[in-house]
Amino acid sequence: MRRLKNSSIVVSLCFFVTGCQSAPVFNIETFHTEADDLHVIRVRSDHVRQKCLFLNAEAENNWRHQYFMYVLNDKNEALEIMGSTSQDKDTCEFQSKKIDKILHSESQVKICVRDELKNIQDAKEQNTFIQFDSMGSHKVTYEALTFDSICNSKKCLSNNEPWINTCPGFVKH
Amino acid sequence: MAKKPRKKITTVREHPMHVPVSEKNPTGITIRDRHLRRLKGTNLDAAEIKSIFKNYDRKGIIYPTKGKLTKKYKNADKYDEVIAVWTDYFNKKFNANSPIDPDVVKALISSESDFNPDPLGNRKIAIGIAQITKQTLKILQDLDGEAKEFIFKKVRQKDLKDPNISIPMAVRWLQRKKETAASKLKRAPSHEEEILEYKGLLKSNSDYKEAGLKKYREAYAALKK
Repeated sequence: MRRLKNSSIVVSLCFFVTGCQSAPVFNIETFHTEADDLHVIRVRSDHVRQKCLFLNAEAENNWRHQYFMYVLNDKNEALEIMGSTSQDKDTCEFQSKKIDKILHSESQVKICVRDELKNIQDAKEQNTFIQFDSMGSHKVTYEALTFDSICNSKKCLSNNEPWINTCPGFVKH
Repeated sequence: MAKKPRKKITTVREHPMHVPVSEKNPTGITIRDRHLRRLKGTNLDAAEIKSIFKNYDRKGIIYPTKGKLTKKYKNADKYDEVIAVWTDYFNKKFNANSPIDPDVVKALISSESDFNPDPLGNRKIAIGIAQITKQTLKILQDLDGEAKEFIFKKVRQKDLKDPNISIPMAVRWLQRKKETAASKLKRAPSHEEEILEYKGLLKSNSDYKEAGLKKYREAYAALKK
């Protein structure tokens, strides 16, 4: 009986500790490699937005869409992450739906992105704002990074086939 | 007595031509306007493309810059020879005053497919390493189309997955896009303007020209570093 009492205390203590420990809202870890910079972003799923942007190209190019992901960081800035190449509408939307599933099934995700994190210099580009629903509208302050992978604890989606490497803890396809 | 050299005839005069009998042409004969003569070597099929590449005189041709993108991309330098040969071939064929730079072609390929010969995403519309669309493939094989000065024949969509076929077609298309860009701008285009025209963004109302050019610009800068 005593044993049971002790173990229930331990269990409730563990529950209390893990329950109080909320997932970090945003964390970025950068790895400098010979080729380019790789970043692992750990972020709450509700801080991520996506869109398939129609590039409005002429004639035989009017298929071009560009995948974009936006991540709200802990300084209330929006990080812009783009797909590496143009995609047709169906492919882009299919990818976006798959990522939506990853985002909606768990509260925390980790994202691998590539390229140097640089502040936007061009004045024209400095006025892009992204709406994060109730969290408000936030400015894109860095040049676009390149999307590599996104994972929750069970599922991943990667677009890293053409590259030599990927972020630590992610799988290269 | 020395044989007098024959003059090379590049155009065909207006001439009658047999056509299927129809309401419009009850006699079965129509008049074909003056047109360009199909000269040997201006109408390449897959076998000729491969044969030209194999036998091409590589002396003095300019190769794209090696080793600058290999740390990032698996296939970065894999198609350098194909790019070099076909860029040289079309620069000579069109007697270009401002020849296409092989690094422009290499950076274009990087921006279109990350040097992946068969990108998974876009097989329905754009195919292969240079993301040539079905519509472009049609134009590049149309005897009366906008690229009629130099066309290809019997190239199928699935052939575009082979960089040995799609790279010469992309270089030819870029040459054509250079002409259309010059005509739109009323001056010689810069290499970035040529690429914007290839991607259909030069004169479109798009607000996203920068996004469309970003990857090309990065790859070109890396090659020229």
